[in-house]
Amino acid sequence: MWHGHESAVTIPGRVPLHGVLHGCCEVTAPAWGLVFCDPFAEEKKCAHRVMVEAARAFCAAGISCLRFDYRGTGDSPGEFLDATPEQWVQDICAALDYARETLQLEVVGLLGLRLGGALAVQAARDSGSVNLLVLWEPVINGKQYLGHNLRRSLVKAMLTRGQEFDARQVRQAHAEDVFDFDGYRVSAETRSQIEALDLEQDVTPFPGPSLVVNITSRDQPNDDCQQLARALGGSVAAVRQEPFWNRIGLVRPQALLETTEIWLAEQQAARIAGRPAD
Amino acid sequence: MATDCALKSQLKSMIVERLFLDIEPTTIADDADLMKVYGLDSVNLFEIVVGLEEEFGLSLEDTDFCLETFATVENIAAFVAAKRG
Repeated sequence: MWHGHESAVTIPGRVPLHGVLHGCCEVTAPAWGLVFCDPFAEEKKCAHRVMVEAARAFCAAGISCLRFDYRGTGDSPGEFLDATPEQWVQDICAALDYARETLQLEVVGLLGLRLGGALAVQAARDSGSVNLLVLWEPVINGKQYLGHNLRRSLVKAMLTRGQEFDARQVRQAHAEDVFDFDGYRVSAETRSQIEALDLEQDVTPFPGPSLVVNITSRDQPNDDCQQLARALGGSVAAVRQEPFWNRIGLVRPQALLETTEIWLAEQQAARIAGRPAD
Repeated sequence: MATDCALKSQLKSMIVERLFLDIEPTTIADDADLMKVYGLDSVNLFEIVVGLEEEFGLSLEDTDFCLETFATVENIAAFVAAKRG
């Protein structure tokens, strides 16, 4: 059962951002908090329920959480088409500062899902004040991510257009300056910034604890997640869970939440004991 | 023939695993209409496409996107065999 309080907040900054603060009734000492970094476009919408459940679960375990909408998304101001991943990294940094100050956090971490995972890594590097990182099925390679979007568009068109399906048309539409990303209009600038994402090449060791979670149908984490975890100098886990960011519907994320909660509890215990967690 | 059977078996395992189907791979008939029998949708088909690329080392071209190709395990196996040359 969830114990805490939720309140809508406005995160100040160049662009005021809409957020929801999940505050704990029983605050642990020292106070821990997580800022959630949402995935991109339709994946954000599909993952919303799981992110809310996660915030409530972690809050019940004594870790306050801040969920927020990047500029141009959700209830934050701005147009999706005008916003870019670089700006969203700035938004994460603003949310971090806000959470630390408002909740008087001593330990503050980032939890990112899919593209939000990649943005979290960049925000951690830029802010230099993130204590821990949790990455759920992060987008590791931007080009591959966009390639998957093209395949998803091809599959959808193949299923819905019948005899009129023309793969070349789908590919051409995908190559236009402003193109369709699973129903969202995306600018050339955003495409170029996503294409440039390559965590395999760009990641440097993270000074605090980190956890990369590969959400998969397999028992072992895939090579990409293992490699990323090694580069960050942290842990990696495989969680058997359907890709809930791909479809809207009821999902039971127990395995994912349990794995993350256990890891967070280990980090809390280790910090109290003054040693690194295993 | 043995290679053909092994390929179909691999494909069935990949489909069951990636789609989180609660069935034994061997229960999928080679000629079963995957969309009708197992209710495959665009998300599932996308998973199969990615599975073919990641686990079978294929690179799908635009012209490979054809409903008939993904209709049955038999068809997918023929497609994989043809791509492998």
